[in-house]
Amino acid sequence: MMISGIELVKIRDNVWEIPASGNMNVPGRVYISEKMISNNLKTGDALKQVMNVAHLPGIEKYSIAMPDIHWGYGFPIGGVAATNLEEGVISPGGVGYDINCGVRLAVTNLNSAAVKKRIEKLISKLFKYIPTGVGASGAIKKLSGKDLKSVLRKGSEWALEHDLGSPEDIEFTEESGTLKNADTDTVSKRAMERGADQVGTLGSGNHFLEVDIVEKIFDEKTAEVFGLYKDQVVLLIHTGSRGLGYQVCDDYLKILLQASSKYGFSLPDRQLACAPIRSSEGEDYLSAMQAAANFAWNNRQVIMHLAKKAFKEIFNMSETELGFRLVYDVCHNIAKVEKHKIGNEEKNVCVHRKGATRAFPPGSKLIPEKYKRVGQPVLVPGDMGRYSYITVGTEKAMDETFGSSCHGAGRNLSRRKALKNAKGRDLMKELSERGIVIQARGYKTIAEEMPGAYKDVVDVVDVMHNEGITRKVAKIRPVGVIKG
Amino acid sequence: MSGSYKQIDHTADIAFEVSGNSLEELFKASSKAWLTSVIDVTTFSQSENKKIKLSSYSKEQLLVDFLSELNFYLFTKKWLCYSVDDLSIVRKMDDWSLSASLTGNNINFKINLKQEIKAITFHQMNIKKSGNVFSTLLVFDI
Repeated sequence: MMISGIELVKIRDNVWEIPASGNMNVPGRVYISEKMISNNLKTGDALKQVMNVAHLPGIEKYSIAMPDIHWGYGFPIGGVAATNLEEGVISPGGVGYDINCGVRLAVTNLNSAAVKKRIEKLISKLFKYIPTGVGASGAIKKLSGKDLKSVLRKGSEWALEHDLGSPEDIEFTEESGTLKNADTDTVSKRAMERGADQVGTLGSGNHFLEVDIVEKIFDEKTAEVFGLYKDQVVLLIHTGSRGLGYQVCDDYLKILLQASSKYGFSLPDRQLACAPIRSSEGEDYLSAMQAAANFAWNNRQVIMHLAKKAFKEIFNMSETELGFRLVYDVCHNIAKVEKHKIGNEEKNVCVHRKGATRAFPPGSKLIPEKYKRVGQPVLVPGDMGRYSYITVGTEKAMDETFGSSCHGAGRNLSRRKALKNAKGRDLMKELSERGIVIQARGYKTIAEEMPGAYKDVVDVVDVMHNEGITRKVAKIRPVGVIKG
Repeated sequence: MSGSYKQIDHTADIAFEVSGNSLEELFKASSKAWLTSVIDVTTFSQSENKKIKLSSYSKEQLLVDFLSELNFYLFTKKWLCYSVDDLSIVRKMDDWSLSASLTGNNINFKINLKQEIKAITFHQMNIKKSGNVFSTLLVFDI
C-alpha cells in the first residue's frame, strides 16, 4: 500500500512496515488497522515522522508507531523509539513539551446509584478544589525555591512528606513516582518560575478529571486484581508537568539543536534535535526531564488528594468507608533507560515514549507486587462523551514494542472545525442527555474537546488487543467531567 | 505594507502563515498572531513599557525566542504584551540579535484568555525570502 508516496508493507493484519530507505537506520513499524489507515492516515505526514525518527543515531530495531498515531513535533504522537547507550541519542522531540503527561485511575466503594444523586455537587466541589484552565495556579500555596527543588528531586514522595498522599499511592505509581537521578541544577530558573504555583493544577487543552462508572469487564481475573468491578465509581485524571515541563523542553531544544550540529548529526527535522545520551548535553537533558517528570507525578498525586477530599466531603464518608484507592499512575510522554532484548542479548536502551504508555508484562520486576501475576495496568482515555479503557501489558509488548502500547484516542477534528461543528448546538445539554455533568472554565474548551472531535478510542484499543500487545480489562464511561 | 498573518487548519494545535516586507515586519506580524491566539480584547486603559534584547544563532531560533518571551511574560508573570514597537534585528555572522519595546499590562487570568500556549514550536518553521517578502509557517503547541 502507498500513502503519499510512502510504502506500507503488510506484516500482519494490524502491523505495517515502512522499509528503511535513504538514511533511515532501521525500518518503521506501525500498529494500525486498515480501517484506521483509510480513516486517519489520509496524508503521509505522521508516517513521514516515523521515517524521520528512524534517522536517529543508535536507534534499535524499529521506529515504532501506535494506532493513535498522529502528526506531532519531531516524533509523531504515538511514537516509540529505543536508542542504545553506546552511540545512541536522546531527543526532547521523543518526549514532547508536556513531559510526563500521564493518567491515573483511582477506585471507590461507591456505585452508580450513589453518585448519580450527588454528581452535580461532586463536580462543583472538584472544580472548586482543583484549579483548571489557562495558567491555573494556587491549588496549594506557592512553593518556595527550596520546596520546588524538593518536588523536582522527590516527585510523589514530596506529597507523602506533606500529608498529601499515602505509601500505597507511591507503590501504585510508575517508577514509584520518582526518577532518582534528577539534578535540579539542570532545570532553568525560568522553568522553576513557571512551575512554582502550579502544583495540584489541571491546566487546559485536553487535560481533564473525570468521574466514571465501570461499564463492562472483559477480563474478570485481572479486573479483580486491579480492584475493578461493574457499576463501580472510579476517578480518572489526565495532566502533566504544566509550565515547568514545557519550559524544560523549550530550553533543551535550543541546547540540543546546537549539540546536533556540534556532533555532526544530519537530521530531517529540527524538532528531532538530540545529543548522545552519554554527552554532557544529553545527560543534562535527561536529568532536567526527570525533574519535570517528578513534578508531574507529584502534580497528579496532589490533584488526587484534593479529589479524595471532595469525595469525602460530598459523601460524608471516612477514607476507609469510601474505599478510595489508587489503581495505577502511568506516564505517556517520557524517555527512560530500561533493559530490553536486542537480538540475543538483554541491554539497557533509552526508550522514548511520545504519546505511548509503558505496558510491562506479568512478572516484571518494575510493577507493583500485587500486579505481578497479571501485568501492568495501561490506562487509555477516550473522549469525555463516550468511554475509556483499562488494559494490561503482555510479554508480546516486551518482544515487539519495547514494552509500550497506545495512550488515547487522538483528535479527529481540528479545534477550529470542532468549534464550527459546535455552532448552534447546546453541548452541555447533549452531554447531560448522555448522563454527563460537566464544568469547565469556558464553553470554548467544551466545544473544542467535544466527543466528535476525537476518534473512537475502541478502534485504537482493539488494534493493541488483537495484536496481543495489551489486553482489554475494563471499559469505563464518564458521568462527570471537569476541564480547563 | 505591514506584515500579515492568516490562521490555517491544524488538527491538534494552532498554525499561521505569517509574512512581512522585512524580518522586523514578519516578527511583528508573528507577535500579532500570538496575541490573537491568547486573547480577544486588544485595547487597554493602562499600559507599561518593557525593553527586551535577545540574541540567537539563527533567525528561526530568534523568532521562537521572541515569541517565547511574550509567552513567558503572559503565562508566568501575568503581563500581557499587546504591542511591539521599535523592533530591530541585526545579524553579525551567525549571531542574530533583536531589540524591541513591548507595551502591555498586568491581567487577571480569570477573564478573557482564550487558551494557554505551551510552546512556540519549530514545526515547519522556515523563514524564506521570496522577492521582497519574508514568510514562514508558525505553529503553537496548545
